[in-house]
Amino acid sequence: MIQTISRASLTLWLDALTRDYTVIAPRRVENLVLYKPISSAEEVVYDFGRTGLSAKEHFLPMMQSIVNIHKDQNGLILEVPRLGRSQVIFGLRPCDARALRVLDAVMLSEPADAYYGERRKNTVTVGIACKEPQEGCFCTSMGGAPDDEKDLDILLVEMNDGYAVKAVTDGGRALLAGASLSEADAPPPVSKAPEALQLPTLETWQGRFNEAYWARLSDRCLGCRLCAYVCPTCYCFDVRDYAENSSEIKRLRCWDSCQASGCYRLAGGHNPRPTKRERLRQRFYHKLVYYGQRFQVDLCVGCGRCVVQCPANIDIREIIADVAGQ
Amino acid sequence: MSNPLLPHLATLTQVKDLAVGIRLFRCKFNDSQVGANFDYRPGQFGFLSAFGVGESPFGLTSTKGRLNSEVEFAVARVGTVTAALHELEEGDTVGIRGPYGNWFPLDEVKGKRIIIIGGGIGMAPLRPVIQTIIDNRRDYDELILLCAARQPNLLVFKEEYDEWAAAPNTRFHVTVDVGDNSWKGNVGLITKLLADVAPTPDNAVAITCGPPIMIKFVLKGLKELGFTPEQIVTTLESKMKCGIGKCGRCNVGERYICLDGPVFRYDQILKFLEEF
Ligand SMILES: Cc1cc2nc3c(=O)[nH]c(=O)nc-3n(C[C@H](O)[C@H](O)[C@H](O)COP(=O)(O)OP(=O)(O)OC[C@H]3O[C@@H](n4cnc5c(N)ncnc54)[C@H](O)[C@@H]3O)c2cc1C
Ligand code: SF4
Ligand code: SF4
Ligand code: FES
Repeated sequence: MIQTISRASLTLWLDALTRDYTVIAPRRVENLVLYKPISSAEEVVYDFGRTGLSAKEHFLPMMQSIVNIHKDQNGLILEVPRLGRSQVIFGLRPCDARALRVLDAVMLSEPADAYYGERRKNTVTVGIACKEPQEGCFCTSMGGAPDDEKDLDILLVEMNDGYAVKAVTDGGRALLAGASLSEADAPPPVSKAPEALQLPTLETWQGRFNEAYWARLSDRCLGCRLCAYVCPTCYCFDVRDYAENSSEIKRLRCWDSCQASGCYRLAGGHNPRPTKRERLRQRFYHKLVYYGQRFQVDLCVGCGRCVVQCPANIDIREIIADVAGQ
Repeated sequence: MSNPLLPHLATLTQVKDLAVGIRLFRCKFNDSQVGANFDYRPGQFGFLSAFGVGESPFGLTSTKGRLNSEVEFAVARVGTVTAALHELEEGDTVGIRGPYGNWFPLDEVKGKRIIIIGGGIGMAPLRPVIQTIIDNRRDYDELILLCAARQPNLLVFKEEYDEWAAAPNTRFHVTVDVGDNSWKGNVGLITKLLADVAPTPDNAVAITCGPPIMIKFVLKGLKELGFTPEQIVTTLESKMKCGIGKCGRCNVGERYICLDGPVFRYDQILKFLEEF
């Protein structure tokens, strides 16, 4: 027997959730669909395919104060800003949910990142399976699937007049307590999966490290950093102090990208990755080689965002195929 | 959950010039319990905050044994954060987090001849190595100390040269790339000094720290003297924003300089895909 929820019940349930949680869901922001807090279920967009940005910002904000510093005659006081309410992320795609597991590997390994950890602990995820792949999708090559429930608390799969509901974790079951569910006999339609790519072996990657290929490829790269910002797994950050006035200072942590020319440049001028060649190569080796060596999972979930958004058409699937090929 | 990115407050108890543009900062943690628990080994580093400007990593430049619950950093003024630190005076408040990273393998090299080669501010993380060897002199064989700087007024820890030179079973040499009117010592690159002193590799380990270009040539010089990569210990430097394996700046291959370094044996470095 399969549990289901009608569209009307789903709306009621979501509205009820907004009373206790910050509910984040795909909604329209100008001409984009993004995961943003909603105040009413009416705002949710269901036919979004893939959002422009992932839900990463709700775990690693684009910019966040990690320490508020108050300075006066009596000295200094440091304060760590706390997360407000617990959050529900509704409408997460299985690949974006998998990205959280991938990020956990680095962020929660000791010594764990307290800010990420707090948000992770206080988040319940409600996923919606993809019916069919979007342009650029390759989740199945990276260990995921369009209807993968593994990294979600609840998975919804669209069927005739509502959704099949699967509570995956205890947290998911608890969240569903207030929802009015029904039952159906027939399972929902099976998702169409993208074709899987053949991944190069570790030895092949290592053997191609010094090839001219990387210089040729990076010629096209504009260093615009978009690929890192749209990526659900890119996590590199910069930290700077921002003084609002002489007594209020914020230590800000911001998204960063390995494609920025100054990313690795040391005081004194030495730069171990001086050109786009080294930096673009670092992007793909970090994602597809080094991260797996360290954490046994790749730093890419095949969401396809960088594929469709790179202004220079640098396509990670093409790179995988080029490295694997002759 | 504890928060490794939250600095401990500390007060500067001593600020003094070590060389032109290089200052020593001695810091006392405001919470004495934090100071007592702040345990570290030679080669480890900490992040020092100039609140309102930022924070940067610096080697802990003394042994815990010599300072008890205070800590010392030697900071070269090279950019934004270091300039802000140089503005601070005794009594001012800084932030400290750490200790981070691995350390020089001083237990593993007991009984061996130790050759220490330091250039410029690279002496900062080597000073606690020298202190450890001097304070446990019988645990090690001969100590050969080679210090260098571009010019005499850039040499650090000069006040301690007498102590170092007077240590038993120790050879101590200093050189500068370019001398001045009052300089009576060696003039020439550290690689020349190394070739002149020519330490034999028998039962020896070389420990070196300095600017990337110096390390490159010192490694070559050591190789010419017959040192194997396994007998050479050095440090890698990279930009760092966190020190705890999160910011991604210090990654070389699957290694994180902040967690797995900054100290590496040369044979480990040779196995890296990427020249760093
Ligand atoms: C493990 C380690 C130990 C170090 N020990 C010492 C020491 O004992 N004494 C000393 O004087 N210097 C040391 N350094 C170098 C020191 O961290 C840099 O000189 C310092 O960060 C420069 O900061 P800045 O803001 O003045 O320079 P800017 O060029 O203005 O740098 C801006 C930011 O870039 C980063 N950055 C720039 N250069 C470096 C660099 N070389 N290393 C790390 N981050 C950098 C910093 O986050 C800095 O805040 C060490 C570096 C590392 C990685
Ligand atoms: S999005 Fe494309 S052009 Fe922009 S930095 Fe990334 S690879 Fe380069
Ligand atoms: S690298 Fe590209 S395809 Fe892979 S997770 Fe990031 S944005 Fe998606
Ligand atoms: S300094 Fe941030 S990962 Fe090493």
